Amino acid sequence: MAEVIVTRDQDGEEMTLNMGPHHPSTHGVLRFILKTDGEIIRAAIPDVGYLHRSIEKIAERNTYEGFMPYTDRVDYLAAMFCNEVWATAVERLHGVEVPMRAQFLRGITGELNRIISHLISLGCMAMDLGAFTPFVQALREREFVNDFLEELCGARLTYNYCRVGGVAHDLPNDTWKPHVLEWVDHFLPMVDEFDRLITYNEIFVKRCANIAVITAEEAIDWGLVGPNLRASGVRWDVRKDDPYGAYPLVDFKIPVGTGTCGTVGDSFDRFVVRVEEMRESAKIVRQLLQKIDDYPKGEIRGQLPKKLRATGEVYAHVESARGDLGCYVIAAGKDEPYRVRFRTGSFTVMGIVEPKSPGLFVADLVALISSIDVVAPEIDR
Amino acid sequence: MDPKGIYEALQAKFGEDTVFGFQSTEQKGHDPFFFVKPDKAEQVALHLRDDPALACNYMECLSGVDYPDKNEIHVVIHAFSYKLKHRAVMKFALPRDNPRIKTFCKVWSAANWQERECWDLLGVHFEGHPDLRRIMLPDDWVGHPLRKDYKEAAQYHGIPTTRPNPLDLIAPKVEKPKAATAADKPAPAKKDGAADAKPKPAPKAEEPKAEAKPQADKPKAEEPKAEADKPKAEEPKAEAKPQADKPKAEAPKSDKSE
Repeated sequence: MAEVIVTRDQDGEEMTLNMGPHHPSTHGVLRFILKTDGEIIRAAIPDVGYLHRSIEKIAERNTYEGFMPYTDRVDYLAAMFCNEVWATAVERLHGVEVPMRAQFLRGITGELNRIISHLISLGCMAMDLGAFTPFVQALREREFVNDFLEELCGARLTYNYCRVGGVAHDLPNDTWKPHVLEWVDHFLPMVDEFDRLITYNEIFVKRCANIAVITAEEAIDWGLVGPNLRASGVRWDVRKDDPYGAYPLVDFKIPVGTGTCGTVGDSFDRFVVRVEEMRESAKIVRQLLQKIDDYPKGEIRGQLPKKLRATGEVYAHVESARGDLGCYVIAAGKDEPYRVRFRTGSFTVMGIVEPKSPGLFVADLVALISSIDVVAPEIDR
Repeated sequence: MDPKGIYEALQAKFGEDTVFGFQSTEQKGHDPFFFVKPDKAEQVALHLRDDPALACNYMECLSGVDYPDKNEIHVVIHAFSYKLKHRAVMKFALPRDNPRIKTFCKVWSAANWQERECWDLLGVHFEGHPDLRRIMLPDDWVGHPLRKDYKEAAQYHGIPTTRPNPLDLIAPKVEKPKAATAADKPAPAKKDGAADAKPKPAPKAEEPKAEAKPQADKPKAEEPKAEADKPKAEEPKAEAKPQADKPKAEAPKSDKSE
């Protein structure tokens, strides 16, 4: 792409404007080339790839077990799911059974991870639209969970917690579980406070409602997943519709966009769906923690074959914080996989920015980008 | 519908020449797949999306896989139906020297960016794609990295694409104390011993060569020091010993190897 900063057509009508790659509201190193008519966008062309590390090529050079730490880097805000999808794919490939306690631990850590990922997403969206306080409040809550996960697996962001056939560590001590339960009780009222503070704040609602409406048909056609898809009114969640792990044993709702303050599928719906999902996730964490001791302590790794050398192919998917996260693995009887592909929610959702942007104000584009919750390394991998 | 049912439904519609090669799974949990002739790709995909019994309205994943030994590149499409909750895995085998296939953008818009990625990383040309540009890599990048025979260029616009392994830079420092203690007392005897031992670890003699560039300065700078070391050594006692010893132990080696 041409190195455009600002150019102006001779008639003075259309202006080409560079936004990013280091723009505070672009969530990572993302760049947009805007063609604007005054304040109104005619086209916004995303330019991605600044964080491309070819994680798929790296996978071809690593063993199945050895690739696990790299999967953290696919999505650093929700690394647990990338671990999980990789482990799931390799387990299915080699026919490994995962003990139920490990499934519970994956579920608990996954839902905690979903909460903190949504907190960042919601806080950042509020900040992009001019409200700074919710961001700080969200980060405060996130710190608690970061501490829990650090106690569990030693890392705050890139966990490397799942293993092929289970997880790396059992609960660290007897106090971890009551602490998390205590935090869940503290967190649910905090979400209500968050609602009062920002969600139904009139200025915020006016910035988001009816902005960048994505209909259900468009969302499916463009391959949107997760909260972005559900905000458009499609009730689809891998945890419910293709259940895996411990999710069949818990009771939770799938929030969908209802057009509370505007139209179904607008930026506001995408925000509200995430707020509701945090509540549901907290409830899932509570239920799983209450049931986890039904399964014997220490049984966190399944039986692995002596060598991981399957032949065949598997497409595994889990519900990540950014939606249906897929991992396609082809094995050819070697220690290393033949081909690995990560299909991430952020990558497909970025495709819809270009067709959705014409007619928006520049400030509304910010609302669109932050409401679809993209994470740059997940786009670029 | 199970994968076999989808395959049979498509085969009944398009014939055995177009839809073929169903591979069922030997192991539980593996995904079955089938092949589709590339020149009928769009029709099959449209039928897969629009037929109410198939209704695969969601294109999950479009991947390219390189098979140099078969001289083929496979484009793999995972299509999913939200309504019927089933998945079809279609593969298109394309010739490796000129992989071309019609775009799926008219069937699923989600194919737009995934095809760009496939073009960028594997060099599959999607005919009729509205905007087939590189997406991950810069526009002037040469080659398609996910091909199995891809060789990385040594540099991109003067930026090296590799760097020396930091472990190689540390390694001599770690080995040094052993060599130093051995060379400390019988320094002249060690030289003879090293000369004897020289032919045995032939690869070792080569290692310093690779490291010679960063280290080349050290012996030069430190050799005079080592000779005039004794008066200076008193100032930095702890540091001087290993530093002074290193050139003693290494300088003869590098001399011999050169």
